[in-house]
Amino acid sequence: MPRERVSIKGTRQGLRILLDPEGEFEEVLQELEERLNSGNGFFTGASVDIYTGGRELRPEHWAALAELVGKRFGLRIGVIDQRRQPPEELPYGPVRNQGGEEAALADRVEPTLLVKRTLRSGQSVRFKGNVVIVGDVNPGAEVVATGDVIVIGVLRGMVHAGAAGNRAAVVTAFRLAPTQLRIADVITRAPDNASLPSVPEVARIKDGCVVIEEYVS
Amino acid sequence: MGRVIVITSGKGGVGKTTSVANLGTGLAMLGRRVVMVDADIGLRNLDVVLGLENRIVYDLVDVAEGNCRMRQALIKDKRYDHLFLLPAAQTKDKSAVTPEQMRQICRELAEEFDYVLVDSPAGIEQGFRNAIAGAQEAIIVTTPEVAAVRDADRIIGLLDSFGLRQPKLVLNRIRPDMVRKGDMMDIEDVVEILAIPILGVIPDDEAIIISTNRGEPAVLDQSCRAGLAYRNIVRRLEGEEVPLMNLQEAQGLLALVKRLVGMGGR
Repeated sequence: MPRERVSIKGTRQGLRILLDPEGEFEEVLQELEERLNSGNGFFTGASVDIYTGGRELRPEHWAALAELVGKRFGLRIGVIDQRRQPPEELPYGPVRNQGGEEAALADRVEPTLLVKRTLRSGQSVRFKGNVVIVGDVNPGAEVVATGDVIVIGVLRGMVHAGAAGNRAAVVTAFRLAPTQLRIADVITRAPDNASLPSVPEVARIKDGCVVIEEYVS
Repeated sequence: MGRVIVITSGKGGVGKTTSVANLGTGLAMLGRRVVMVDADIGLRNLDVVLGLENRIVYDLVDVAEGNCRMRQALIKDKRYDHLFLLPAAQTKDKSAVTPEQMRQICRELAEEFDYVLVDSPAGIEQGFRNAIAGAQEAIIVTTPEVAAVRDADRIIGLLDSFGLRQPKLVLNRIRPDMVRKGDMMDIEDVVEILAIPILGVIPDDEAIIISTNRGEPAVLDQSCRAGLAYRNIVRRLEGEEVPLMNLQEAQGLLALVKRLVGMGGR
């Protein structure tokens, strides 16, 4: 029997899909489709994190995956993570909303995580929703959010906003000097001799490029 | 109960062992009962820096395994009879002791000494975890280099996750002339990133190399500037308010003297 290329697990944070890093991605995708199909709509509406086990996704793979999981099966994708190992447990679980009205509101308003401390090298925050950091994000630290990222402090580390593909996500920082800044599938880095800006700034995608502008309220 | 302080850095070669030797000796100069614990099992150095290498019979691992009593493993310093070293084993590796054993050893030593200074190995693996296990306070040693500061930042985060909050910073090997020219990170640059209180700044000093090779800590040498910086740190550890050494002025004074005797180029 061939080994399983796809594993689907339920976790406290929702579903977790692990993909086999070996073999043709198309085949993995096909098996994923079969597995989701066998659920007979059971998975629809669930939130899901996808881990590629270290496989680097090409843009078309990324799109195919989002199309299959998000559009065809109606799952809400939290994070598509290309690291070798999925994290033990997300450092912060998503905010759960209960009740009808609140849930309806929650569909329009993404949950927001407030982190009231400085993130140091090696520390990371991953969250389905927006992240606000009151403190600095030091070099070697990372913030990954499916929504916007706001740093009330100096952002020197790596930040990824709109991590599930939301190109409208923005990154705002009191001082924006990231090692690398990603919004959705667009990756940029600071120029090699950049100095610390003197005003708050916002980064967003314009015409497919990340543009940084002075923050005006 | 004495204070158990771990001296750590993340990055290697920034001056952890030298700092332990100097702070330990400096505290002993003030009459404190001090024990220095070398937790760098397999790469022991502290005994060499203190000039005590040839006196080792038992070591940390022997104590942990119960092969000897604590008293038998402690080596008395050449100069002060209330200064001791608990050496690391050289033929074992980091997995030879557990954090629980280290906690027990530190607890036992803290009952008898005013200060227990633990010299941590570089890295963030088990050796580091052992070194911090028994400590209540931490001193981070870094140099004004981007890589060293990055590692120090990582260590501060890890210490925090192990419950060691508010470590203090020793900025080692700073060169005022390079700082002035903008070629080296300034004290402010480092403190801005690490955001922890600064315990002291040690100027880069050739005398340190000479003294460590000789096995005589620089803190004993009254004419040595790095030694003075360590004596200042010792006083701050004792709760005294001592202003940071004015590196610029000292440099200016030295240059002035040199000019007066006709040595200065500028």
